[in-house]
Amino acid sequence: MSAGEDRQKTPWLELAIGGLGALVLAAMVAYLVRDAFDDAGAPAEIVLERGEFADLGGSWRVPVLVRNVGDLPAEAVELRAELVLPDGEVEEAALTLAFLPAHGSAEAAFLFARDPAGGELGLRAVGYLRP
Amino acid sequence: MTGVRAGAETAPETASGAGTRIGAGGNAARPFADPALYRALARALAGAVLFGLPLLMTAEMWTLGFTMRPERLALMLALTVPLLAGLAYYGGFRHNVGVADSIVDGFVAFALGAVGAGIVLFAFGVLDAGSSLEEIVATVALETVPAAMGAALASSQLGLRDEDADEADERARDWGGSYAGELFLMVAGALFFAFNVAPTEEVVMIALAQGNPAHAIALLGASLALLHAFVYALDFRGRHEEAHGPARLPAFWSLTVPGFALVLLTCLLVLWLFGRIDGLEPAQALHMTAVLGLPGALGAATARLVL
Repeated sequence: MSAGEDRQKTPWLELAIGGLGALVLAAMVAYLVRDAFDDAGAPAEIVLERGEFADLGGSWRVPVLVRNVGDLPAEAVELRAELVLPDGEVEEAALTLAFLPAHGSAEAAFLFARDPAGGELGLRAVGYLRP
Repeated sequence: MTGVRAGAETAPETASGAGTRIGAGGNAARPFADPALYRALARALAGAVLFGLPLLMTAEMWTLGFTMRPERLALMLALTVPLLAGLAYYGGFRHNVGVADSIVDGFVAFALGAVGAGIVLFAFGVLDAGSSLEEIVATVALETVPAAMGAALASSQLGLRDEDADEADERARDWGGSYAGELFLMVAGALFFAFNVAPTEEVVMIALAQGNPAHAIALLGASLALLHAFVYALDFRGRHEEAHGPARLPAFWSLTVPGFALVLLTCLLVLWLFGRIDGLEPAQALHMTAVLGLPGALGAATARLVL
């Protein structure tokens, strides 16, 4: 408080919110800097977890939870599912996720024309861009 | 933060009738708050949402938060504080506000910007309970920057009532009266506009569509001319020639040219922070800077009208 006599003192509430702002800023910066050092570590690693099949009447839905367990984000994540049916026939399905943040997840679904229950289902990520 | 200062400043007039706590001059006890402060805080929060909304509703910004390099995002946040404090110092209703108060106000604007950005991002469903901590921190942090600027600008945009008009004039003179303040204001205006445009793909697309460096040079010339025309030839608020009388240099050389240089540096900084020029040839990076320089120059030119 260096200026003129007519200056009113900054109210406590304003100081409190300002202090909170400083804390939030410091926490964000600290987190991001820590994150920056972590980034030197693990690249994006895509893990797929299959959910329960659902009969849609004429087609089958296979929900998947896609997780990135790496320390870096991934862009244009290409996912494929290969269903090998008991009669030896193979059905494929594919999808692309626009973005997957580091340690983030997304819900997706593959659709098949044949019932996957009796077959063997393989799920995998086949590639991504590093943003 | 200007809005908050406004509230605090008007308190002696509005509260004098009630006469509860403000004594004469600087010896009064520090008050907790007053109705005017609540109004100013609400106004600042509204400003955060209003100014932040275009970028809060821009898909590129949602992914940019976690795709840009975290150390650059941290640097961007760190640079935001002097910017906000500067806006409070130079642009506030109270022209005699001190440096320490301005810094407090800068942090207040940051807090309100973070709150405003967080609320909107969750309300829109951009972030939800399933979002990772990294995603939440990075997205909110990035969106806080324009929102906090909005909070800092709220008093001049949302707070001007008739009785404040004289103070607004006085404020405009303040800007004109300080060379550093003038340049700072231009940088702030350029930054705000550049920030709104730089995350989009269009900057890259325009630079690619133009291709020829002659386009970039023409664009630079046009931006410079626009900047000069807007602010100095059209004689908007704040009459520069009078304000910078002692310099005796024509306004073009004393203000437009250095102002434009700062605008371009600001644009280059924003592009680099967003990772837009990573891996590009220097010529391409400069071309993109020239493209962003147009909105940047317009932002700098109109900052005097807006801030």
